[in-house]
Amino acid sequence: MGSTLRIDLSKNKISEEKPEKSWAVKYVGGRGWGARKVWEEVGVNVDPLGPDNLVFFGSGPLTGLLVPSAGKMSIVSISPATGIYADSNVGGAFGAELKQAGYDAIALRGVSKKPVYIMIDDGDVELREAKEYWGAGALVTEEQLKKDIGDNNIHVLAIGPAGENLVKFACMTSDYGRNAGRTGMGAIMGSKKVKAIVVRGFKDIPIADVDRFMDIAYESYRLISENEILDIWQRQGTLQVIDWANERGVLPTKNFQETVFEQAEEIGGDKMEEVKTTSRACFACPMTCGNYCVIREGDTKVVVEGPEYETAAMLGSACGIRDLKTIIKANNLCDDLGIDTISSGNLIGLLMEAYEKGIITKDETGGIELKFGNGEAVLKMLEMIAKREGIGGIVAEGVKAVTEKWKEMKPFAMQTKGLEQSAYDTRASPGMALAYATCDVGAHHSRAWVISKDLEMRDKWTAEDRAKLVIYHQHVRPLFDCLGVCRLEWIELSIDENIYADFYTSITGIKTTLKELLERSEAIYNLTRAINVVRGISRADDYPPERVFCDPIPSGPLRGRLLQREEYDRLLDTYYRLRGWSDKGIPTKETLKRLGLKEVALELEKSRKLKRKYK
Amino acid sequence: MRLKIIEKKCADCKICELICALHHFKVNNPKKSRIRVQTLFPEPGINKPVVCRQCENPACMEACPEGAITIEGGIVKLDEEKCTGCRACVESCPFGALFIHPDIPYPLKCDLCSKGEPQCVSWCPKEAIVFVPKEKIRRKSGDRQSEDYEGEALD
Repeated sequence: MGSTLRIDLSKNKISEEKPEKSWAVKYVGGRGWGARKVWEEVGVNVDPLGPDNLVFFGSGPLTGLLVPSAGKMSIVSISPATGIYADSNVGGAFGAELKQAGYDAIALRGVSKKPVYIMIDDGDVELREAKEYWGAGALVTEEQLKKDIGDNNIHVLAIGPAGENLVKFACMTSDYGRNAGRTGMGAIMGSKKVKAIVVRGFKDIPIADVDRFMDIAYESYRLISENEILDIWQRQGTLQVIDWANERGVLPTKNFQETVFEQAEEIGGDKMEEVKTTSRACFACPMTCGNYCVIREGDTKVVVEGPEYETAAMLGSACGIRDLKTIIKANNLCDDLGIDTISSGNLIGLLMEAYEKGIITKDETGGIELKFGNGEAVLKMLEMIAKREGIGGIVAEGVKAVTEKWKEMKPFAMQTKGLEQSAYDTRASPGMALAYATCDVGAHHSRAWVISKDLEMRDKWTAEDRAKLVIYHQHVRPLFDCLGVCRLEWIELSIDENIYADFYTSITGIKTTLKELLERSEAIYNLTRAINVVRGISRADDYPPERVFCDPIPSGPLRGRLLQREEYDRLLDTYYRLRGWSDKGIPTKETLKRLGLKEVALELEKSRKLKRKYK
Repeated sequence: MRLKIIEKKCADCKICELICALHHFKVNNPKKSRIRVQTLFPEPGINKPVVCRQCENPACMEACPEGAITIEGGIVKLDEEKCTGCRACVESCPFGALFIHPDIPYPLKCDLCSKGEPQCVSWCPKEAIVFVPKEKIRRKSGDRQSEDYEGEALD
């Protein structure tokens, strides 16, 4: 493993740290390294937006190499939205460039006195004044920094006004539209007064056995090129999922009230191809699932990388928006303002339902007719959130604050652990409900995605089948985040997971197998659970929102379906048992010991004893 | 024969850069490649690869004070032994198709590797780089940078 760049922003202190090899191997990379750092270095009562919070940018052992889609980097911290463990993952090529600059990771702490950006220039690191960029959009900042530095090929990770204004779901943007979207990492950057990180590197990324590496690379790219599904991925990327979700009746529509959207065709992949100008790929990715879309309105031209499925569903159908043009404008606005499209769409949809139900009034919205389908209202709300204007100031605090202010919204606020749910309806899929509810960062699909199989198996599946698949996913999917590659080649093009272990061995020279890597990923999942347990997370936090138990799906192929509470209770019991966690959702001493986390078990015990003592 | 870029198809995945450096130097380092991709955003919103066009009358050959650049069998070649690293060729190329790396004493220039099957062409997942006869490529009137390829609408 290379060095970690450490910056204490309060003291303007820049240093390098070389971790032990055994440590680097045990925690694999990216999210694994970050989780361990957070466990060791961040206090239980930390203010996520204060100087003591740590934000860790971790590439993986495969990042930056000729490995299918090896541009991934994880950003790990304690989230200002949820108060618990958080990671957010960014594609593009920033992580690859960081490794070429000689660093595998960056760890930031403290708060700068004035706005700065961090310049990492092939091993030279400096904090530079960012006064002139403060206040600017993230896309504009990237463009301007490239001009000012005089190099169009540098990579920039920037926040927009939302991050500066500490919006709890502010994101970080790089490569003109690749986002570390979830859990509010942009707000943490804003709190530390870091506008951007700029990186440029010329170094080789070492490979232990080049000949073996080339054989594996050749074979994996060949397999991908021969896959029949590659064509649709290159043409439409994730936006093709709109049709899939709509046909099956799981597309969030009008704040997850309905699951079929009549105008789905208008916001799907075929429609997007009409305005697509070119494909966009992350580093070394043959799927090229990103798209530049261009729309014109009078003299203004909007160019956006996207929209992705999640964006089109959450800012589209979930808000009743039936035209792609509005979604593209909203996507562009989110990228530049620096807010997560998923949380934004989820919250605006929630407010729309509340408005239509009379829970919030036109006075409270500042005169906005906040009804489903009102595109102008969506665009206006995004601005108000990022700038904390009017009602936007409350929404900017995230779903927890919104439901505290308007308690009537609680039953239909689609969230778990304070993170707004992403774009799959779970009422007909107990497995997917469990996946969201036990995801370590809150209701996100990144850890486990079992909805397709669950819908297919329906009653043929037992609780054990469901829990087992969720657990397998929670180990294999985050493993990709540890390795620094995208999981889509595996999920969508059925690339054998074992290839990644072969890549790991040929690159690092450390022999490993998929089985070993999955064990480490299991240990990391238990570690992130421990981070959450000491912060008060327990069984009650592993439940889906009320709506999935109370409001049956009103129409479409899954009409009438909803989850039964007793069935979910049993499913959760099964999940805990298979994981080796107590019935309160706490990893047992034996489980942690088995996974090589003895010291974590001790800490966990101490913290629970202390809690009992002071209660 | 020479390489022709179809800009519209390029997605900026950098696989061409990676394989070029691995083939020539056996290292993983896109900054040591002889082809480079740039993203031009928001105007015009495309990805633009740049690589040597193997010109008939190369400005780089003209500019080289050492006579290190010659044409052999239609390929514009750089003699790395003769090269002194003065960069006159880099500055003279109207397409910016010669590249500098701080650790390499000579400029990096496409040599149409692998005997008629250039690596970047074989590895490009989008067929954005084609290897075609020079006579089939026409310069678009009035635009020095843009080209057409006979029989196919490219740009």
